[in-house]
Amino acid sequence: MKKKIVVYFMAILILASFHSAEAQQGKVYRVGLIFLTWEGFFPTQVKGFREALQELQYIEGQNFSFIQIKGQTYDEVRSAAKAYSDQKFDVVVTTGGAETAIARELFNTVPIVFMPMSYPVESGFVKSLAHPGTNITGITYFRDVGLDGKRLEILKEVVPSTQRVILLFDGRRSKENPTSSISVEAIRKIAAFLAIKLIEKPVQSVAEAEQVVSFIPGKPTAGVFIICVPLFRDLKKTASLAIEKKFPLIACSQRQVAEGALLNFGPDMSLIGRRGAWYVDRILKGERAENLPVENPLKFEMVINLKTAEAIGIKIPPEVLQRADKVIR
Amino acid sequence: MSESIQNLKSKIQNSAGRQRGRLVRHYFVISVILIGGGLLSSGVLEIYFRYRESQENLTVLQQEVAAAAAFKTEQFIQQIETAMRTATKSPEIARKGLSEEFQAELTRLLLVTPAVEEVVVLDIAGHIRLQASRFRAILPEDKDEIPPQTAFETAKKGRSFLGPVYFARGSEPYNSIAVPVERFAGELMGILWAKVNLKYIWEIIQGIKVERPDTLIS
Repeated sequence: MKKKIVVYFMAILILASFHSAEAQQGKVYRVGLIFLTWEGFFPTQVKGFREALQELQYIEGQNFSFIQIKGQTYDEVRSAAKAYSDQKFDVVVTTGGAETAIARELFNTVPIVFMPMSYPVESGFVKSLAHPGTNITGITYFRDVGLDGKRLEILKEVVPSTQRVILLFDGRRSKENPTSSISVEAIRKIAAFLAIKLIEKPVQSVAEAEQVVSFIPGKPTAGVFIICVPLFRDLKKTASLAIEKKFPLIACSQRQVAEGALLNFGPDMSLIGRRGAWYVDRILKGERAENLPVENPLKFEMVINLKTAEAIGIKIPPEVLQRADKVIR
Repeated sequence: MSESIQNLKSKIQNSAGRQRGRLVRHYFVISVILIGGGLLSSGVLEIYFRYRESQENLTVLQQEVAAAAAFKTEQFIQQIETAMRTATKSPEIARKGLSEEFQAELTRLLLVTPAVEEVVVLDIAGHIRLQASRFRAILPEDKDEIPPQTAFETAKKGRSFLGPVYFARGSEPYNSIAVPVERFAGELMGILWAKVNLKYIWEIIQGIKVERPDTLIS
């Protein structure tokens, strides 16, 4: 009898080990990606993310399944995400603060990687950059508020005649915008040092920002500065109005510079996506999100649109132009 | 009588057959044990030696990767130090000392060495004279990045200083390098100090790929 039990036990053990080895081999990781997109706009970081995952041997359809949860507005994104809330993901990846808030609300037990978002500590998503201490980690957008000051400094370098700057920022109090006031405070200090008069314009929508730009009389010594939050994701019309009024506009992304803004100084989004893939790889290999420090983007780029410079009648100093990483001609 | 003889004969034949069968089984078991034992022991020995061999290969591999990483790291630091020393040899320094014109040299240093985030120029008395940052605008009253005393003392002696690795906000590895700023050899004017983001080294080290135990490609 004893012999029989031992034989049965051994057989079960062997079968179980075969089964688990097979399961491990055939494991298909499910990664959900929450992002905002619309016609003519697809987040640049997603391309870098997918490329890097492929390099890390995550092949879609083989060992990796990529579920895109998207919408044109945050409400659309939220309802799309709700449809997946009962599904099991290994990791959820987001492309911004609002998307991360949605992910936290609906997939709270799953590791979440943001690529990127601003002020994750101040917004309460992580406890500290070094030790997130939650199921959320990723890449933070701004190194600190100093970057806004740097952007203003660059605007002044590109257009040395700048004396007045229309400061457009998100005036709403919401989850999307927890920290505009911190940036405004930092910019005030730098503006005073650079002898720039600030015209502060909190706005509730992009349409309101467009109104502000169209109502302020154009002067060659004035510029438009935007504190980048998701509200200002579509600046196409604002950029064309700025050209009309001959305002140099410092935008929030390379895409916006290609669409007509004068310049941008910001992180290389494709590299952010690549680093996001590194986080996903670590998590899929067993590391806990709470132990992966939040990182800053490695590379920042200055992009200048020379066509816009010509249209608004400014000549960019050659030594500044030399510093640009990309020049649109 | 003949019947009983026949019975006896068949009994003897049966017992001889049984004995032969037993003998065959006996030989069979012995040969199975011998062959099996031999195979098993040679298998175990083979596994042991293979394990030893792969362990040795792995050690060689790790040593070579470590050597390549150390070489790359040294090269990375040397390149930054060279760029800093080159910046201190600008004609502006020779002609005007630590003047505003030297600021352009600092901007160029940031441009050509992506890993350098901040640079500070101190005069011989230890006062901040010039600063440049990749990611923040610097106000005159800013004293956020003050070179450590050891950096100042080492560079003042005409030597390069390489600081220990530290973590900014606990998440990003940095170290600092300082070089002397001299009008000419031996005539010290101050020091040039740089804050270096070591994540760039990580990028370089990650690029090291091992093809065969004796070949490294990066």
